[in-house]
Amino acid sequence: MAEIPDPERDPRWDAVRAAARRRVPTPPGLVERVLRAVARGRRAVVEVPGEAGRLRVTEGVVDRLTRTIATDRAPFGVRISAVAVEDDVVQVLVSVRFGIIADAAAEALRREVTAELARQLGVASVVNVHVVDVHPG
Amino acid sequence: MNDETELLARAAGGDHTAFGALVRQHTPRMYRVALRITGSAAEAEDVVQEAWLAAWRSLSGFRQESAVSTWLYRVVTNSALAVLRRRRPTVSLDDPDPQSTVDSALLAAAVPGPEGRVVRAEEVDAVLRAVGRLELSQRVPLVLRELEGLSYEEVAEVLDVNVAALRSRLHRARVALLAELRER
Repeated sequence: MAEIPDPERDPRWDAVRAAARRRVPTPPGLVERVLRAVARGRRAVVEVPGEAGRLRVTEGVVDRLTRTIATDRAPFGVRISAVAVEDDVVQVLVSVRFGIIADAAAEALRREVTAELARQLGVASVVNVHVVDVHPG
Repeated sequence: MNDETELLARAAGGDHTAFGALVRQHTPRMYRVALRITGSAAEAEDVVQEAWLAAWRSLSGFRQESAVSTWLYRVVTNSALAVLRRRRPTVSLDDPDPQSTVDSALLAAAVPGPEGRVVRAEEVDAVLRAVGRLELSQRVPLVLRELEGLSYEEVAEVLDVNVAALRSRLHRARVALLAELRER
């Protein structure tokens, strides 16, 4: 069986080395967004009083739960761009495939996320869905 | 205890300033890894945020058995893999032209000057797209070893595999990458 030549001796490997040297700029404000996200992760936005105690759910958990629900239940042609909790309101940013009726798709997603969040958290949440982009078919 | 480990210990003890210093120091390389694994700037941002949330939650569990940077490479790699598992097949408007080609003659030429720089930029774009087409079991170690420059031992620690298995996987990844570059 012929031995496979060492890929790193191939002339094309120079481009791989060049790729390793390419500078990747950090997006402006990313560090600050990370620090805000971690701070939000510590802040409780949902509190459910019970007979035996109180359930506290942090903003980070609501954010992550919403992102998972929205991704799992997004209608055909809807892609989740971002999720945020601002002033105790859940904001879901989406892009829709070209040709999809944007308001109907957004409303369907809003109903799904609202119902599932209420089911899993035990309290109703206000959910807004914003269509912010269109992607090709 | 080195400076980084001390920062991490202080962060684990609730020192938000120390945690902020760690975030400022390591976010650029974590973003770079996330971008090279996911191939998407938007997803890379999500990965970095999720990685830091995960790191923050597990600060107290850090046992100093590995360097802080190695531990953070592991956290960001796991976050990137989690994001990719959730990903639905889509076409991003930001994607570069997938039909771009790598011309081996131009690769060898390495012409200095503006034209040469444009050629090299196109070659690098083609490499990064080809890396993005590799299966994850090859892409992740290749990113860590070839693009991030980690040692075999560090990559093995990040991925929790032995060095022999890693070397074998990396060889297959390099061969697969060259095949991708030849086909385009």
